[in-house]
Amino acid sequence: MSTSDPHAGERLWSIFRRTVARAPDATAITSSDGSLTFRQVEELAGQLAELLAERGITAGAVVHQSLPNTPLFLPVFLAIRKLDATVGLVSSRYRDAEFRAVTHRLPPTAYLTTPQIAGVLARAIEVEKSEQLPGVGGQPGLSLVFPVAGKPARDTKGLALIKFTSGSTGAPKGVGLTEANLLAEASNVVATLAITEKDRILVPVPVSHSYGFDLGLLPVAYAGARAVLRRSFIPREVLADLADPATSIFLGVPSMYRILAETQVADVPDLSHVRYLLSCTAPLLPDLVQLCHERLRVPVCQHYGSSETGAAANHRPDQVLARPASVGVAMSGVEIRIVGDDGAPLPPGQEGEIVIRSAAVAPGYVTDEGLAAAAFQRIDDRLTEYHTGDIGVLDEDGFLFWRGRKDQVINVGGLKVYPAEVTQVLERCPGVSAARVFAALDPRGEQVVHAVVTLSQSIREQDILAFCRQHLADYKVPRRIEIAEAITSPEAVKMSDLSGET
Amino acid sequence: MAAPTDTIQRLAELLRTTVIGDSDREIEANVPLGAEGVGLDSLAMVQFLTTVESEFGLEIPNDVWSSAAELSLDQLAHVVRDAMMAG
Repeated sequence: MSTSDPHAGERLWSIFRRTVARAPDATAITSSDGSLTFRQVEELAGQLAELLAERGITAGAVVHQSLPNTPLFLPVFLAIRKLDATVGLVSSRYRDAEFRAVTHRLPPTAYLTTPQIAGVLARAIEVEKSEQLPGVGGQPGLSLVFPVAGKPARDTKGLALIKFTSGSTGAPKGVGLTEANLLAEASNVVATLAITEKDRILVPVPVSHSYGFDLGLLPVAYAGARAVLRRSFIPREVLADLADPATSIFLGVPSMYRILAETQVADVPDLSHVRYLLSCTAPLLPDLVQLCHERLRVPVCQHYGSSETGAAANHRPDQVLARPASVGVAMSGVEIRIVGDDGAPLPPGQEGEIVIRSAAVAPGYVTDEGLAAAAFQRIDDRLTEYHTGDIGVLDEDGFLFWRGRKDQVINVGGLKVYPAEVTQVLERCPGVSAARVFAALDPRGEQVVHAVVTLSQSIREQDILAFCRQHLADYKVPRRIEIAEAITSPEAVKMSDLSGET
Repeated sequence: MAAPTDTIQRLAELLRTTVIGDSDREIEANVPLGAEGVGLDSLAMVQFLTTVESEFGLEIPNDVWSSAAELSLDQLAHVVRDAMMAG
């Protein structure tokens, strides 16, 4: 991989202006709330930047952008960046506790959001002042909410974007990304998926999250593609959108595919024009890959990435049926290695920690200095390496298989069990609607596999266990399966609560 | 035309059997279906509304889909009744 930077000295804003100049009247964004051409996106960004500048947002400020999938999302992002302020990408689905946590961990200069979310903020955090911005270009007005200045803001100098991500512990962490990271990410996505101005990307996932933003909006600004934004997943509407012969890429998640494949929502239209049906954020089970293929007749490609690394791997449509459990091959510009506990690279076929190296990998967290700093390693002036904490394996041809989280491995008498694998089997068992698998301690203090499941129909614990024995090695079969009304969060169940009950 | 109370009961039954998986669970008719009430997440909501559409043979309007988390069973029963009258 070359270490010369193809984007040296560039900014997304300047690349976006060149995109606009190529086809100002082409549509950039369509949504249920209206459409915007590239010229309109640029004009709105300029007008919004003026409104923000008048209210004290200048270079170095941090503006937490918390918006649903509206046409204004991209203009707002570009406006903040035009001022050389840092954008905090905050989920529009957050509620009081999450907004409090984000504000505490990285107090912004202001939140830029909808009046509705401003109302949530008003009761969640201490607000210095809240201003309703006038609507520009016929768009609804947004709210600018200044929190009471708390502890001094952390050092966000030189950062273009902060992605807030709920880690496995629940507290949102802020991943700090530079302008160079953003451009590398856009370039990797566009090159891997061969995105041009002819592409239409259907986005029913939130663009305030990494997956929707990186694959749904960056290609619009960077390559002139069109994003079709949907506020929620409505199966009938999504099938109609997919049937549009111009739709070429779909950003989905496994549960959407399950609903599209399993429920008779409508006759499935011809989808052969769709180049990529993508699935991210959770493993797509091989049986669902097969079911989708039968019903949708287009392979669903798994995609692997994170806020820390950006898009890292993507499946190839022609290889999906041959390798249904794979999350694909390394994206353009990305190097994937598997390393052992000593950090040394492992050969193909051997399981170890997944390590991602690219120019899109973040320099680190802005909310947790020290905590995970060791996971990020600067390689040179362009590349950073991130130890993902995910366990996986690469095959001889470079296809990546995700196994589970390193910190969730259950050690059963020296044998490793990944909760994700057991969860997948449990959730395939007829009658089981959801499952959570974790380590418990037996009376001798040894780790054993336990599970909690919720049911969609009446089924006994011994029947579920019999199903597990058919599909799993004996040491992976849960020692005990608890049938519950709801699955509690991991924090709510302590190992000791269940020890000695077997 | 079924009275709304019948519709509410039928919706509650569908919710219990197809999404919640607990045929004895009491569901209050006047609390929101989403996280602040019954506790359905967005995809459970999609499953439920998809089932309602196919069971009642109607189309629920898109704006109802988008705001379903704030709707109660009682309000959804009115949506269903309106959609049946429109159809």
